[in-house]
Amino acid sequence: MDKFKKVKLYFLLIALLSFFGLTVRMVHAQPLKLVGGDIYVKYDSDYGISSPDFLSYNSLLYGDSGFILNGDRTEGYGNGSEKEPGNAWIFNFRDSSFFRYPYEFPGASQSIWDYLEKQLPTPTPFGSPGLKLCESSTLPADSGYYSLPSNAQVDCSGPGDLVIPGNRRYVFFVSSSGGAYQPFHIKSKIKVEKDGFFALIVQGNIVIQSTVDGGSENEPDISGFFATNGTIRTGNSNNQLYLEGIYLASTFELERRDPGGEIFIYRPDFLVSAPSDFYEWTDSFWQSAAP
Amino acid sequence: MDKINNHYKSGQFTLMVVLAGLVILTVGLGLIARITVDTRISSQSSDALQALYAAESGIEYAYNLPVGTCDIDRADFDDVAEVKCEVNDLIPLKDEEFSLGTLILGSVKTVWFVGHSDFKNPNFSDSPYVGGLTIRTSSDAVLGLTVFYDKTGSSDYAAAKFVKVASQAAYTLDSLGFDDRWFFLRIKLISTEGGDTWTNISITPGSDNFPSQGKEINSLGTVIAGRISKRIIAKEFYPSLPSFFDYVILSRSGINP
Repeated sequence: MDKFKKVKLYFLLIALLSFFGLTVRMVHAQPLKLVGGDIYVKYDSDYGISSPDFLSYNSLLYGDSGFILNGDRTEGYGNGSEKEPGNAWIFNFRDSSFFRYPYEFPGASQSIWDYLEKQLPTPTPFGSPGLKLCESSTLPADSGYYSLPSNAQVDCSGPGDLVIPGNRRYVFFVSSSGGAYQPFHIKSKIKVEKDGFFALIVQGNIVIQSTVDGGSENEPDISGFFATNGTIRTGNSNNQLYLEGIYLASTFELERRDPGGEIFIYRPDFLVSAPSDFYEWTDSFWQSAAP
Repeated sequence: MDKINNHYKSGQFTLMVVLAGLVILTVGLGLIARITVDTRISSQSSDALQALYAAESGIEYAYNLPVGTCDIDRADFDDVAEVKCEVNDLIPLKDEEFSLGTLILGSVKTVWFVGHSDFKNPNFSDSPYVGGLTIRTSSDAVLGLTVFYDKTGSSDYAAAKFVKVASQAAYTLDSLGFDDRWFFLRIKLISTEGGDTWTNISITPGSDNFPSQGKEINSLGTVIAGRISKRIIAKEFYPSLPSFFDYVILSRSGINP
């Protein structure tokens, strides 16, 4: 093989690798689909949401290499748009003359775990090692704040869901064990009935198993308030995953692939059912006045 | 001749003594007057400071009290000062501009359309305010507005969202296309023009008074001896959920496929 042929083969190899790499990238890059709520991503992501950007919508939005609005009209940069309920809108800071939104978690340098641990009441230990939460019978009898064993998980070992009744409000903490950040596994569906509240605050990662699926926009697979210092992973699968509620994490690894993908759905009623311990004291101000 | 000369000298001396006396008297009186004024000013400053401290203590005392009159026993101040304080609802009145204070980037102000059963618990079964409101900022700013409301009257909660570039001119929020039960409005400062990290924000109820947004503490401290008074008014808003409750996804590092 002469030198010229070698170079040609080399370029062919690069072209093939690029093609497959791009294909893999495209397979991975499922559109991020959202229904209601806001999304905030501080740093660059593979979904093309630059830092620090902010967007919101009341309908479906697909984020990939910029913000593409799936609504009935798009406003110019820096103006946003006002819509009737049910329609979509977006605010895009790209090329905007407005100062970008330097969101920091409350408490600035605090981690999500540290902030919530300080803000909320001290939890009561609940369950023994290997605890599997499933169905309401496995839950504490009363609403409240509970700490779970570090290897606890949501697991019905078969059919069945973890259902939070409408009259219960639970906040579960899962701390690391001896400094090792164990992931919290969600192997079954979690449903939160109207007026109920379920919060899972984890020091390690939150991993949703790939077998959790089959939901819909009206019957999501996972519901609740989830917060972690680490990563929320959705499990490698080709099936859709419907996630409802509030999801706070350092990083998201969205692994559902074509024709699946993740659909995030906002739950406004969580702002009504959230325990008042989540409430922050707002600033007050004093002024001197004439006697 | 000598006698006349002696009398002249004696008179001159007497005149000098009298003049010197007058000078000394004038200086003395001036000093006394100055000392008296200084003492009085010093005493008043001290009394004013004590009155201010007393008023401040009234504010501190009343922070944990529900709405109503707060009584502080004069003995708490060794009978030196007295405090009269009141704790009132903080009610934005119809057509009157009501300050929400300073809104900083990323933070949220909550405007309540329902009353509260206690300081930390809104009463969502309460009859909510119905009508629009006007929002003003002290500088050009991008506001994220979210109205939380009940779609059907049977706890069918929903959220309507808007982004509005508010200038110092008013922005009226009264055309949402629905007239359902509004529970609260969350106002988030997303961005400001020119790089400021804050803006002052105010609201004006359009059709009626709003329910209370917190409490206003009015504290009057008086030093009994000097009858010097100082008044401090403090506004404390109801607590509300932190801004991350607005997000369906909040990532501090990124989203990866």
